[in-house]
Amino acid sequence: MASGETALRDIPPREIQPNPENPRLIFRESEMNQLLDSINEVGIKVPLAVFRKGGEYVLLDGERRWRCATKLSLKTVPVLVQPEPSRLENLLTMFNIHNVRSDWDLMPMALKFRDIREMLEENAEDARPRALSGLTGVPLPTVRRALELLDLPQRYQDLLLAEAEKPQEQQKIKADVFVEVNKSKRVLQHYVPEVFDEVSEGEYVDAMVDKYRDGVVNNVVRFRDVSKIGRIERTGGDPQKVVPTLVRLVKEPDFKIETAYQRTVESAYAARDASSRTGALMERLEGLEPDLLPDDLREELRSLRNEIDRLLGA
Amino acid sequence: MKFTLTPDEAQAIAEVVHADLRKRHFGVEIEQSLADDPPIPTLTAERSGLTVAVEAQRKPTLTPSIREIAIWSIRERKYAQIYVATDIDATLSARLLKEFRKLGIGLMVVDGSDVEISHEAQIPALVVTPDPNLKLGRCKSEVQALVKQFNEVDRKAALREMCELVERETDKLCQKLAAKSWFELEAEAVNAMEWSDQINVAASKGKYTDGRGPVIGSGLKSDLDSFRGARNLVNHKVKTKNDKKKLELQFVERMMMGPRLTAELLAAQRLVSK
Repeated sequence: MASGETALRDIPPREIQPNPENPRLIFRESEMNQLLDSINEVGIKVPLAVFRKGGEYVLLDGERRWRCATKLSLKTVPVLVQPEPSRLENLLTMFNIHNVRSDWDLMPMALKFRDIREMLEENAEDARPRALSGLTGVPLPTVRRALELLDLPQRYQDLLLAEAEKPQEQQKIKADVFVEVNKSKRVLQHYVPEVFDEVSEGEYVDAMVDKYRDGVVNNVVRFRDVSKIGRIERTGGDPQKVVPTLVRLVKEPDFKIETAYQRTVESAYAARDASSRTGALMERLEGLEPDLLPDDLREELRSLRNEIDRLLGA
Repeated sequence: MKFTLTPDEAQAIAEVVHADLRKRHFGVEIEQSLADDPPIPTLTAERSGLTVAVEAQRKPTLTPSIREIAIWSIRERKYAQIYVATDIDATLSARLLKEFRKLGIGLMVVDGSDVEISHEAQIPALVVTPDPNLKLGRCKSEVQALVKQFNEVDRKAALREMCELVERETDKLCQKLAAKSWFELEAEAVNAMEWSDQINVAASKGKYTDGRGPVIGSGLKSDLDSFRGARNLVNHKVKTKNDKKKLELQFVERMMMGPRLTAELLAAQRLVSK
């Protein structure tokens, strides 16, 4: 922060502007009502932090209190007037002051990260995700998810920004969709790059986003099943066998991920799962004494033996 | 649509109400103060002199802001309606409804893109609140019931009945003046008189016996004459919304006179009975 004096004074809320560097703040009804009650009863006890810019004051801290004071038509609010920060200082302050970062939409946050990264790089400072996390106080996984959005085509970034302007309950598509689609794309690039000989990466992203928008995919975590199809070799399967299905998934809008999963890897993953559970069960059974088995467990083990006999054809 | 002071959950409700008010030819503003003092509602709408303030809420609550707006509107006797707008799936307690009602706050319910007025807001300018210090004696409960009827049920019918009450008490006063020999007139003559004549004789010094003065002064006479005209108001036809507003305000003005005139007539009756 630049040097200068901090002054405490009372000013009308209308002379204060929200900070343009503050990503859209979600203001929940219950939270606002509580604050309205408190301010109406005892006033604003903790001054807002502002800096002077031109003829007006810009908020550094206290946007919720400022909104409530405006709503209640308070004549003045107490403010601490601080020296005007540099843009990088202002951005970092925004991240550090607001302990409600989970309320920030990911795309606007990503754009702020991009600005911070550029400014840090200009100063030849460390601008890697871990450094960004340290400077802003945002958890590293959130930083990574946000930065991932910067790789999206501009039209999707614009779409997410437009969505972020809406109340959360009205948002039709969220950043998580793109994060999950991108993750699955990277898995396919790594394990079955042949898919992208048939369709482009852009086509893949478009197809998956369209499936989500059209309700063919109804849950963002469903894209993880695409990754599981791509990693078929973990189950001992041949990656080449899933390529046509993955290509079809891109080319046919109504072709569901569940169907693709069932037709390719579901039974293989089920077998792998059964195998690992069987190993664990064996270990547990070895530790039991035959004389001390409870009746219900004895009965369940008999059922298990019958099922095993059925599978093995005994 | 840009909301700054409206919580996220309530913005969809506010948007539907905004569209509905526009459809009904209201001029609508977002998050604008009604005046310098009161808190800022979500929407402010105006048409033909009627101001409507709407607070959009996902979970209906009597927040300090809506309470202050309602109290300000009552205190200033505004020709305005204050509403809480909420979603059809919202739940609200009977206690809250009662509190809304007490403050004259109405309830709008948003169902998809439709807005229904589930509970009409009061217009403080049209609400009659008689002076609690008035001595209404045996007429107290009757006056209270008429005021309640005026504020909550049927203004015209209540005003008509209030006219009848004041006429009845004028008649009782004149009967007492005749019976106690304050009047030179006989009771039969008083009985045969119209209301206007009864007011005239009760205010005329020449109709009293020696040593007795009029129990109806010039001010009370003038008010009673003016109040008599209220009966005609009830049948008055209006063409425009502005005319309707003017007429409604006249209803209130006359209705406000009713309890005071009743109290003054009762005071005069007590004086004659002494």
